[in-house]
Amino acid sequence: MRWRDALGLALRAVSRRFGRASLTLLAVALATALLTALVVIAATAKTRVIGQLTKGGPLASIRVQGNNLDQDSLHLIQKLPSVKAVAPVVVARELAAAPVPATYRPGTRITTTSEDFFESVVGIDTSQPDRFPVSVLAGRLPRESSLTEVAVTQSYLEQVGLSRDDPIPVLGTELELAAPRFLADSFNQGVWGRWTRATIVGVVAQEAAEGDIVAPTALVQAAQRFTEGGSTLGGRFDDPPFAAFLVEATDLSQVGPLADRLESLGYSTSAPENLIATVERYLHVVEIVLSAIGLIALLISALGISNALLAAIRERRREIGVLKAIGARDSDVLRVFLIEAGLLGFVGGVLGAAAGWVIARTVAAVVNAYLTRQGLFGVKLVAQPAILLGAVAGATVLALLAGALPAARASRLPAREAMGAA
Amino acid sequence: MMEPMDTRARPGHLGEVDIPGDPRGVEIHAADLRHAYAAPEGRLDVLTGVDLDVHPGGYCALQGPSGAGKTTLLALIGGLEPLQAGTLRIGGVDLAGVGGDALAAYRRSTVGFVFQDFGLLETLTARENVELAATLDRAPPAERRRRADELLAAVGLSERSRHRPAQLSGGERQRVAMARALMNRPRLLLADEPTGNLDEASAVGVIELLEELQRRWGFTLVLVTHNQALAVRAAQRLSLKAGKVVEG
Repeated sequence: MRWRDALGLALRAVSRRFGRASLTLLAVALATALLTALVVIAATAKTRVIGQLTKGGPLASIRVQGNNLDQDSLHLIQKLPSVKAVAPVVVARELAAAPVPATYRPGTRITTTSEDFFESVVGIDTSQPDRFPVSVLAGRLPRESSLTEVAVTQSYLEQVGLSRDDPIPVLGTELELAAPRFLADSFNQGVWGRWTRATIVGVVAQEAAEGDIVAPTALVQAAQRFTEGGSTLGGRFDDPPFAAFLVEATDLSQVGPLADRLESLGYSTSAPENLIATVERYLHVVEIVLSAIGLIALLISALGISNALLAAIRERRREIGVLKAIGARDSDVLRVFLIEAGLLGFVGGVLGAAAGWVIARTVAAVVNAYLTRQGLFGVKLVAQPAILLGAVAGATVLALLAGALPAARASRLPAREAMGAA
Repeated sequence: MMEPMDTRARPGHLGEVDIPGDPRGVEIHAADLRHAYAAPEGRLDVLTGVDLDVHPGGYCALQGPSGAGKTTLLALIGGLEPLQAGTLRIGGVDLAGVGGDALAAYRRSTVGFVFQDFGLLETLTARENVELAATLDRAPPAERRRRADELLAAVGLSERSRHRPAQLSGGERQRVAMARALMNRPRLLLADEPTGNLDEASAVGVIELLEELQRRWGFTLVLVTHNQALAVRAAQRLSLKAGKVVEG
């Protein structure tokens, strides 16, 4: 019997028992959908997270710190090989005064009455937020050119008596900052304050440098220039021009050598290689667990196929016998039943892969909505033909394996079945 | 003796086994055929020494009570059962030496079966059922369709070729089964109570058609029947009793 004819017979057999076939198809499709969705999500998580890390970005940056970070250092580091970009972080210690009386919206619960306090104001290039480990939790980052906008951290919210989990009330309120300038050799002999008023436009989580207020670089540098104009007091307000550099390597493999090079130049560095390895390990574990769940589902559906075919063979002993009586070889019968199993697997696989892709997109949309609410970058699901094709191929192969035993059993049925029991 | 070749029946050829002599019907020679089945209560001897000879192109009616071994004998002659003991020669070839795919080729090319309950595939149309024998023989689609149409015309069912078995009467189904049995131009046609599920009028019609086809194409015909009125129409009548043949 030709393959085409065997396919025709198998198609007729499947369509004739449409009820049972559709249930089996549904089982295969559901299992394939589950596996596809889980693998797509796991693979996307891995490629996106590791991709972000390996492409650079704040988590893959080498943090360079020290008291000798100035313009010369900046230029020197920028010219080193394997350096993709250097993002400087500036910090100024300033006196912070929250509004008194507080101007938060009516009904906002304040646990303590805040007093003025010294705080580090962290200056970053807010036009390139991707280069810094800063996540916006509410509102937005200050505009790059603004000298009157700042963002604060959740610790700041606690400082002024607000709940760290409710950042909204602080948005739009004002904050007064005073950059100090010492007039003489002693702290007690006089301090000038350069008072500026800034509007809080956002609440952030940040690891660029220690400090609960984040501002554009220009705002912090203006405070630094004012402070530098006075006397120094043993370095307390003698802030270096830069608190840190976030150095991006051209790729992840260059992070280690570049960190070594910076160390050899006398800079203190910290690199995230261990973090990446740890993240990779965790993602791999997640991938294994999700794939295992999907494979178990697919295995159950394979048992369903096997069971359906065994039932079909029990029903069709006479038909198989007739086929053999009119000349079918064992291999012809084997072929027809294997094709039936393969059809169930293939069609179920196609339906399942499509459904899995839709599920993955839905999950991605929900996750994106959550991430966006948290001020984090969303995850873009990448179409991965290999996964979808693999799901279809996997379901088909598994169905063929599941159908092998029933098909072999059918092929071994004696031709005598055509004439009924002896 | 078993070289790969076109297994479709042609004069002087039994599947993959060359048969000498008359190109139309085949001779059947059985000697001391014995056959038993394993049953829960022990060994069940069905044939206890059958001797049988049917000449090429002959018409033999086989009778006997239920359980006498008629169907088993037919299954052995048709290559549905492996031989256990005795000699069975079809067209001079000992079937004991034929097995596996060669035996399938023998069933496909030399033998045509007509069953009591028709044995049609419910999912296929009448024409597709008739084509099936040629499909298994890997005949080209156009050729097998032409041949199926000819056979359906020969059994008077041209107008019903697109109907499925469930849409046909019992007599029509049996005629489709006969057309299928003749699809590969068999030299031996085995009919196992072909009228058992038919009313009297349909039964006579089917037997007359069978006889007409046998006269026209010259195949050897072995008919198993309980119906004495039909059995007497055969040139050779045999009865099976307790696993042995007695002249009818």
